[in-house]
Amino acid sequence: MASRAPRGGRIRNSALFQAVLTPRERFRKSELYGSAIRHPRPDTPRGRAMTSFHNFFLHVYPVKVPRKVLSWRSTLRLGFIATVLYLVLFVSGLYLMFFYHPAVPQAYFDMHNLSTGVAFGQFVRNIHRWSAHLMVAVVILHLLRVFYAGAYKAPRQFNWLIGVALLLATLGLSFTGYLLPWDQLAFWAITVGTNIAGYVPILGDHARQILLGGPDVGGNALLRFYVLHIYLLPALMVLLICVHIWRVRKDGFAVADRDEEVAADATAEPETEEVPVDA
Amino acid sequence: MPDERNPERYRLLGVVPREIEVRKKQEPEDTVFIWPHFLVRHAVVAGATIAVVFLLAITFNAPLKDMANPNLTPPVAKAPWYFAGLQELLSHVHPMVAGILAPGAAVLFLSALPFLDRTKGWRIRDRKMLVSVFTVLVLAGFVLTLIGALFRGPEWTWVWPWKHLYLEL
Ligand code: HEM
Repeated sequence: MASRAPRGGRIRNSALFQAVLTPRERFRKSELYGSAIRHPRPDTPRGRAMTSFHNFFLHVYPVKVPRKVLSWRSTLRLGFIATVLYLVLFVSGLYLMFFYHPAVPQAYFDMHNLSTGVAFGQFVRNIHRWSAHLMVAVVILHLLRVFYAGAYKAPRQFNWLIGVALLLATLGLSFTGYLLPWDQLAFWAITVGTNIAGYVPILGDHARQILLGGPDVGGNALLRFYVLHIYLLPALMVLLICVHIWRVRKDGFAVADRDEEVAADATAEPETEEVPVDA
Repeated sequence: MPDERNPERYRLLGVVPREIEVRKKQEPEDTVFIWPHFLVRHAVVAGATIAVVFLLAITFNAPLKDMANPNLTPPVAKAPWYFAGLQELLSHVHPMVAGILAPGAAVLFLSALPFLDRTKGWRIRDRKMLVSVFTVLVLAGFVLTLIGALFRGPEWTWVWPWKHLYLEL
């Protein structure tokens, strides 16, 4: 990143000229870049460490990880995939919200309009729907992975508990979203699903009516499910995911605690030189 | 201190007494920087995930049936697939059991699991009992879900999925 030798005099050294000839380097020298990115480039050990310290987003990660964690078998990456799917849902859901009213029967017309009258409407709706189904499956698989790996054991008991809350929030999001298209599929699936709530002890049918905002699945239920789906549950989810991942960051990955070779295929630049045992 | 031949093993904590450094060398801490090793892997996984979702979205359209009509019961009203197991259970036992007790017990069992587990090791052979119980429960849930989602038709009768598949996603 050393600045260019000033061969061509003043014009060649002018900011404008440099911006045209070497825009990348000029930008890296700018005050804007310098004030935003405060670390050296991550091509030296020092640069890499500094990058981790000085970048908010990378702060989620430790500076270094045990080599074992590089193997995809270490976590199967399922928790990470769930996080990615959540982000996909967050973004695609935002787009859908611009074209949707949580009202009867407007909601249904909006869904139709989405597939005919909105740019990429059907495509974004497809993305939202399929990633929602995938997320439920992936979160369940993640739970199974964590269980069979024994990764819920101390000191990770509480993170498992947060995981259970995440599972419930995921199911809740998926279920509340299911009603929003307001078609026959949505209506009857939610009718069947919420009939269960009528058997809640003590409250009985009151529980179901509180959930639905009335005796049956209707406009109030649609509005309630909408609010849960786009406000309460997503906010809860973001909070829980942050705490969950923060805990993973603090406790380290469970595989790293294991003494034997779990990850024989983790081979990023074989570099473990044999160090002779000190005499 | 940075090691010229082996730049990855960079001591981040500053200069340490030679003695400690020597002791450390006997037990090389086998770590790598997250950039590029870990972040590149995460980027690949994220890219693959998004690619799969895009492929699905291009290939299959999300369903949209007729408008909701409380007066027109469809041949079979199925809950979403992840609740199909509970719905299947519902057809066998009292709703109180299938709808409240069973899922409630499942959530309680899951929540309490790390605190109930008093075994020492993390390997499966260290906790055979728990793993067996857990696996049986998971399999039961899986089979119920499979039956409810794929093998049930009008009036919740048995329908082979290759005859007619009553599954909507
Ligand atoms: C929305 C749902 C969830 C998200 C986004 C999520 C995310 C993550 C991520 C990113 C990790 C790091 C390791 C990896 O990539 O697999 C992780 C680890 C972990 N998760 Fe989850 N998770 C979710 C649900 C759950 C559930 C349902 C459980 C269990 C009941 C759980 C328990 C754990 C535990 C104990 C760890 C530490 C595992 C280890 O250190 O190897 N999580 N989670």
